[in-house]
Amino acid sequence: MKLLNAATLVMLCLGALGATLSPATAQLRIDITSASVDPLPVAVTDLHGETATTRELGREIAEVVRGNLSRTSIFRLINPAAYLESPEDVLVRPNFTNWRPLDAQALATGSVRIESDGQLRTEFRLWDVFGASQLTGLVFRTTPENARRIGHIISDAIYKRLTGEEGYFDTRIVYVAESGPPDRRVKRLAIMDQDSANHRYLTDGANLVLTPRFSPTQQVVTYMSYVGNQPRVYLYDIDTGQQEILGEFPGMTYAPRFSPDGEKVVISMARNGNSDVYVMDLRTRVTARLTRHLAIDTSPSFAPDGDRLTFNSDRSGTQQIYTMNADGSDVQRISFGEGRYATPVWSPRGDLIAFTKLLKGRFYIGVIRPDGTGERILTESFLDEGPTWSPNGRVLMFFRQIPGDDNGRGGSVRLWSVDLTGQNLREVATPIDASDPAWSPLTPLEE
Amino acid sequence: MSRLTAFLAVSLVAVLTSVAALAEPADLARSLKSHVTDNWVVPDVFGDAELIQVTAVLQMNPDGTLNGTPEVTVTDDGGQSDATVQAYVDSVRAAIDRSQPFSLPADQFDVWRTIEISFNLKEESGK
Repeated sequence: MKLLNAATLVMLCLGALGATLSPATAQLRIDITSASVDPLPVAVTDLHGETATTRELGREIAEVVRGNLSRTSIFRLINPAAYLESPEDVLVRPNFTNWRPLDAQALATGSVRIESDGQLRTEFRLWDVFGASQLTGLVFRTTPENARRIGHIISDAIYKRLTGEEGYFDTRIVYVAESGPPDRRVKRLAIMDQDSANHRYLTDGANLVLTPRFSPTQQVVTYMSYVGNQPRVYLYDIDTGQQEILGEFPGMTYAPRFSPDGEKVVISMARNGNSDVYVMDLRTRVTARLTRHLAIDTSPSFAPDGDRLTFNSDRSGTQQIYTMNADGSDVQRISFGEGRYATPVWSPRGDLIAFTKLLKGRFYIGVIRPDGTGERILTESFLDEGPTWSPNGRVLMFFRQIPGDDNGRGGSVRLWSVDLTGQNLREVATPIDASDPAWSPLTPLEE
Repeated sequence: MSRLTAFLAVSLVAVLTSVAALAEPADLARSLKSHVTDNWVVPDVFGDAELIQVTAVLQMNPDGTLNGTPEVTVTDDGGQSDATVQAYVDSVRAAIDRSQPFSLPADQFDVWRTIEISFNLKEESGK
């Protein structure tokens, strides 16, 4: 009996280790059930060019890629000073024995040249250093002015190939640029690439602008502007600069936001002193009322499948987050924590709703599952507000106000980003004060 | 010594011998598991990758290097996208490559001539 126990014990120990010896094949088996969650080490060489001009363009594209990847917490850029091969050396195929000692899991290489018609031809390859094989490759033809954008597209290709998820680099941020003293604040609509490049103003500051929001399907922004005291909701085509009035709404109007198909806009409107959620069909301009409650219902945001919305209401006595069907039925309260909740925004992945929370004089950005479970706080400060999701649902951008001194000096309001993990908190550079950011979808590629 | 006692004594020796022989592969497996786990680097965005299961069969050389390319099989894609599964498989291949040469006892080469490793992120991974 004791002998049997000893043998059994040995087998149990092996089983507990997840290791077995198979007598038939003399094969050692193990189960690996965890890994090191660390940034993936990646090397990005300058893209090779034959001339001074193309070498400079190749360096500029690589700098965009290196900047994008290094601002994430997903990748760790290996310092180019440590590279043992030049862009020319790796043009056809890298010598992987020169990259393995750097522990580079992936290596990005490429080349640029100006063709006879003036077009910029860019080749990009991503290599598996340890497997000594090509993971992906792309070729682009475009005008040299699009060099930075090529860098963003390459960044997204690397992100997708190494993580399996869509990237968010070939995107833009529209926001409210603020200047002037508090009592005479000038608020202009501004737009820039997600890495702060190509900044420009879309409005002249003559009228106050509020709550810009990107269409999920087009390069179109909806925003509010007060012309005199009259609130107007506008549609602004980023590419053409064309602007149209969606409607002039009586009373207070807040926070227009597109539906996932880009064909409707949900909005909060106060009629007869009672604020409710409405939806407007952009083709027919017919408006339908979704909430009917004496409480203040604001900040509607669609789920990515368009079946439900989240919104903000004080119907329970304090400001909380609710969800409902797209026709206004089946209203469910999902936030029950301490404090007040505002600006709920449904993630493009559908799995979370981001919010602003106010508790005991401090502001927080957090996320919660649509069923009300799993609330997590990601940031905290004097004033954090207005989260917007990257199109892949992995990063949130918001604005943070730093108070000035007693004389109103030294304060600022700026854009910040944070990963869904709560890590990687970063200020997003803007020329002047900035609030209310909205992240675009990935910019469509033209064939 | 009765025949029964003699039989039991012989059996005891045989079992104890097998215990000794098996205990070493257990150590081997523990050490191998730790080594490969350290070299399996995954990004923090693998989503529901814990649902994916991949098996790799490694044919080994006596010096601890791989004899040929590992045979990697997706045994359960966990309902994840092709791109996620592909990235997961790449991370497994990189873990195996990065683990080379495996430091394994040469006198037990027959035990680890072929190694089968199942990769599944069922436990919370650490930084």
